[in-house]
Amino acid sequence: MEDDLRRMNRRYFFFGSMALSALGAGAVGCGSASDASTGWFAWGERGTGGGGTFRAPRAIAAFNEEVYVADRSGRVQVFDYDGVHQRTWMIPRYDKGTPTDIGFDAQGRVILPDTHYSRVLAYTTEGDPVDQWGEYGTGVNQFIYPTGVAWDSQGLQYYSEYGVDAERIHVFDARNQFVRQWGELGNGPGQLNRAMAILIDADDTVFVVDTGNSRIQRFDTQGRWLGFIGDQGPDRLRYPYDAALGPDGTLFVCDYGGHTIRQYSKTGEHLRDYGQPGRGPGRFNCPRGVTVSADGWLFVADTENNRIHRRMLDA
Amino acid sequence: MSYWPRFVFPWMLLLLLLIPWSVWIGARIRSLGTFRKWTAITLRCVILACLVGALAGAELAKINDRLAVYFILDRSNSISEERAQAAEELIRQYCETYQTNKDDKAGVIVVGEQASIEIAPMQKMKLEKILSYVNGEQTDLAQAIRLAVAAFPQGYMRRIVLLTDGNETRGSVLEETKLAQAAGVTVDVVPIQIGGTRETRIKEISTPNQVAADEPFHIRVVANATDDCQGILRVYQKGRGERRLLRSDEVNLQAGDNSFLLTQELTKSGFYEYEVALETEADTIPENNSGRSFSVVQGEPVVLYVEGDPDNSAALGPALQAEGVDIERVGVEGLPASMAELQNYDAVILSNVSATELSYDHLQSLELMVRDLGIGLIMIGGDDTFGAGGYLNTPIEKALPVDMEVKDRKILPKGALVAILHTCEFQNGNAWALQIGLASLQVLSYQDMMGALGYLSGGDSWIYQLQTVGDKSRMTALLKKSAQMIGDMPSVNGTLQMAYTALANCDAAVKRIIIISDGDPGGPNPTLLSDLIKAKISVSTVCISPHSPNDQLMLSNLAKNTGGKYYYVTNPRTLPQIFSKEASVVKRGMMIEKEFTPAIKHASELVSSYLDEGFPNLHGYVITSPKDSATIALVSHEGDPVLAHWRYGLGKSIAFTPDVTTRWAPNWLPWEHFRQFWAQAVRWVVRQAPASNMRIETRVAEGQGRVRIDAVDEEGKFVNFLRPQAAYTVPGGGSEGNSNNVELVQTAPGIYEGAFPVEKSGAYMVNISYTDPEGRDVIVPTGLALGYSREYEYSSSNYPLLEKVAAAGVGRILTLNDNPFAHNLTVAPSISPIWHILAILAACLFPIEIFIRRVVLDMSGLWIAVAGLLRKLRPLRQWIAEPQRRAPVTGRYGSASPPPPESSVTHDYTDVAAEGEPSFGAVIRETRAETTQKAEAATSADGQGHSDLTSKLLAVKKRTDKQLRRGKDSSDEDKSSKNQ
Repeated sequence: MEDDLRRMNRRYFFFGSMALSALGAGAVGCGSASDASTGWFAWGERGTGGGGTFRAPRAIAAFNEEVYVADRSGRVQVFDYDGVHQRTWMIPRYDKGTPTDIGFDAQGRVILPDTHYSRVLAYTTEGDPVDQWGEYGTGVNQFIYPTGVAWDSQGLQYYSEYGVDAERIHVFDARNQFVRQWGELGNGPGQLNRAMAILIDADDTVFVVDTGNSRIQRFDTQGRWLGFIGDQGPDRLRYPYDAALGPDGTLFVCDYGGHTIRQYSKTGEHLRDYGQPGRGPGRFNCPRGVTVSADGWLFVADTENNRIHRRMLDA
Repeated sequence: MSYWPRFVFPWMLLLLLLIPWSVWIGARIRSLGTFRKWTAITLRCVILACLVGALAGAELAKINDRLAVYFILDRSNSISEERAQAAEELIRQYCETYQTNKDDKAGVIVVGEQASIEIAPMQKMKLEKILSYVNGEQTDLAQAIRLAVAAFPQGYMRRIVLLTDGNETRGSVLEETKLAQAAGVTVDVVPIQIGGTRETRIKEISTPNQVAADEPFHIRVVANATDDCQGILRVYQKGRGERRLLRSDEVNLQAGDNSFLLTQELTKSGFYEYEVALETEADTIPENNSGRSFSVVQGEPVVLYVEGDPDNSAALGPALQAEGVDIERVGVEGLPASMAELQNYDAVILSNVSATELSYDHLQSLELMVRDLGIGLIMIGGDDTFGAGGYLNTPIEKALPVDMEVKDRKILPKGALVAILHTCEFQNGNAWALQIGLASLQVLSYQDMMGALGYLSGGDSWIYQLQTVGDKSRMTALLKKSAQMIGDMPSVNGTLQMAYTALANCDAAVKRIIIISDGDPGGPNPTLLSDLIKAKISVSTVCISPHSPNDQLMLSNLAKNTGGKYYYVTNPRTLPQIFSKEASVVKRGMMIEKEFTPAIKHASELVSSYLDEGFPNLHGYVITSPKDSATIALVSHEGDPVLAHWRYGLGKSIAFTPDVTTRWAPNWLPWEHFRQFWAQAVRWVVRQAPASNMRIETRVAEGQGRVRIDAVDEEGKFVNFLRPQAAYTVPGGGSEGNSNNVELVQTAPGIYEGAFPVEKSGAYMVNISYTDPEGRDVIVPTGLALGYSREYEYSSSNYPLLEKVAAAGVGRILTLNDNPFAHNLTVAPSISPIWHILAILAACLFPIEIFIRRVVLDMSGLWIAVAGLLRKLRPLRQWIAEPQRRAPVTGRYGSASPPPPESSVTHDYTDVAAEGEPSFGAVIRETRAETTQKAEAATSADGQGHSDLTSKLLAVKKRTDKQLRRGKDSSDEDKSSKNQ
């Protein structure tokens, strides 16, 4: 009788530990994981090999039921919403730096501001290079470090840019000709310090991610300053690097220093946060990119964890 | 090799008769099984034999018939290459012809300055090309013989064959041979002939060791030639850092010695080396065609004046020259780092030279030159000197009469430095972050303040807060912990703001921020920039690995606008130096820039002439702390040293904390006594060498340089207990040119001797210093010239020595026809006692023999126990069968346990009945029935039933036993018939 009991205990112990280690291995080793309780799903791991491996992913955008990710290894990878790799292409040069934003213009081309090469690259969604323009300089029609791109309802291209004598929003027409620019170094209203991304909503309000000043600024298309977002309160932003507009018109800001995505209303009211610091699904380490698809999926480029996270937005 | 036993007491062997007796006794034992009995008997015999052998004093004698020969080949430079090859060939022939016995071994040792085993002794030795390298500049045959004796294999007869020309330069081969012979080694000799060629050499070059300036003296050269010939004689002079050719003449040499005389005159003081070189065509060995000698000139002192800021201080040099002081003016790059070169000067003046411009060698040599060579040092201030120039904790600080650390001041002028580290963008950046943090920390003194910022996991954070440096250990630990975690900073604005806030609130005199980055982060906002400028906080920036010129622009603008410095760095190795330079800028708080009148604190000889009229005003100085035993001649209005001096070791040093430019001494330059004051200071500090009555002799003997001092005073009496010191420098300069000490010991009244190793040929500078009876420190510079090695002096082989060696080694002079492998050596057998081994063997076997006789092992019981254990493991169960109990070991005297069932008849008592009697079983059943009835009926009748049953049972048992004994045979037959 005692023997039987001992035998049973041993059996439980053995199988139990096997199960635990299997679970553990699975949790650690696998690339993708999901956290059913919170709704987050994450894929990706560090590497420069096949699809689904990243080296510091920093730019992310959703288009046509696909997610485009650019990372520091000079690759642009395309996945479906479940993280299944579709295709990859390489940008021409990346030793000095890589694009920090991805945009899609009216013709459905992929526009990449190639930041440290002071130019803009354009590709088809299949990865065929279509155009490349821009030269180094602080003058009009020239770039120092273009970081983000957005289009207004008229089809003008707005680029956020930074550099000495180039802290500005740079506006071009569809033929890449200079239209106007505004902005200067500083921390007052309308002054920028390393603008890393730009968004324009359906009402033509321009949102600029003013990273160095840890805030979002609102302008109209002419550059008139409308207000700040996220620079006040205990949950103030700490070096935001990217932002995205939700289908309901709210703003999702990727907070690099706070390791979270903060949702704001258009008027600057802090609604809620998505994600927190850490390592699992829904946990970020220095995220640099965020995007929201038209059907309400939130994607986050979690840079230091080398993963992409996905979640359905709460209604 | 053959062995045989020997016995010291052979008659003890009679005891061996006990052995057959013990066998006979043992055979009679009946209580043991066969195996055990005979094992025990054998063992007993062995033990007895061992004991008897031990008692008889058993020994083992060995005689070996094997021979080992070492050929020692002299490969020094006195033997020409051809003759050396011939000797090698001779060895080969010996081995081929005579190494016939397969047990004989031969080896080769090559000797020059060292001895080295080329081939260890082996059978059938074949000498290929010689691979060992030995320095041919010397011949040390004694070492070779020692090596051979030590390296012979054991158990062989031993012979050494020495192939040499007999010209040894070190050690005594004759003495070693005698020792080898005493150890049983025979030494034979094969002489190698040398010479017979035309040869010229420099036999001698001599110059007087001490010469007065402007006094003519002779250089005497003696050249020796074997035949008449013609040649060219050149004489070189090396002194004060330069080498020049003095004379180059064509000469006619006659066979024998030829002398030449040269007249020379020297003006400047210093150490001069003369080298003579002879070139002729009638020459075989070129190495002996040169010679060296030296002369030391004592003249007027020469002062080296090192100017750190040549544009601004043109005043002092001409002033001193006008006073007749011999000055050599150089910039910082002209300051020599080695002691050998600093020797040429009697004083060194450093004016406004920062420590960051001097290498560690400089700093160390300058200290040692004051202490060991007696050279004077004057350090003149400026805004980049003393504490503000980074001299804190340098060796040279020890030689100065002031300390760089400022103590005893109520309001300490301190500096504050904040470093912003954005280093993660270049390779090993974070490791460099640690290095530069440490480099900055090193320069700061305990009351300065430092802080470090970076973008860590929580965002812009302090690696350590701006705080007093203290003992630096805490900051070092924090740096080490946090440097690895430095991350990519989005904008310098955040950290710069934190640095500004901290610095604005601290009370340091000088505040600086230094940023290292790639320039990519966003720059500081204009409001912050203007705040920094208003608070006079300068920001220096270091740009490394920028992405574009724009990045550099961000950093250089920041530096320019705030009054800091901008550095563009490609090689990270320069980073620590940049940071220590920047950190030392913070020490500028050590300066006071105010007009004041220097007051005389001590009327020392430097200032005594100006007691009445005083000194003109000064406009600034660097704050220092006086050392306890220093003389502080002038002080400032706040009591800080202005002019201080003291003795350090053999020399003296002066510190003057203002400068000699119009910045801080505008009233001094036109002062009428300016020149006089400084000339007096220089003369005071300069090294002196008064005339000495010591006779100093240097020579080379046995590979060492020897110094001997004969100390007599003016009356010719011995001077004892002088305690002189000496230091020498190796020719060649560089880091070897730093001085090394020679220990001088008094060996006789008035005589002091010492020795030091000399390897390189050339002139060694030797400085001897002592305190004369009047208390003055005297320094006597002298030297030692080492010419070519004696190896090159010989023109013929040393046959007499070789004959003596052969005789001492009980060998002969061998020719080609002699056999070095002849087994004609007298050999003594070697004896080794073995009785103790036999005794130990007997002692060990004794308990075993007892064990075998007495102990009964239950092997099957052991097997059962083991099997039971093993069967507990489930998998083994199928392999190991259930052990069956088998018959135990029995002796003759009966069983230990009842016999097992199969081998004997089953005694089934139950139903065996005797004739006419009820069977056992029936009795039992009946009695049981009875007893139960009785028990039910009468419970009180206790013992009755039992006694009935017992007696009945006993009766039945007796009957059936009898029955069985009788019936055993019949039942056996029954059984066997049943089985068929």
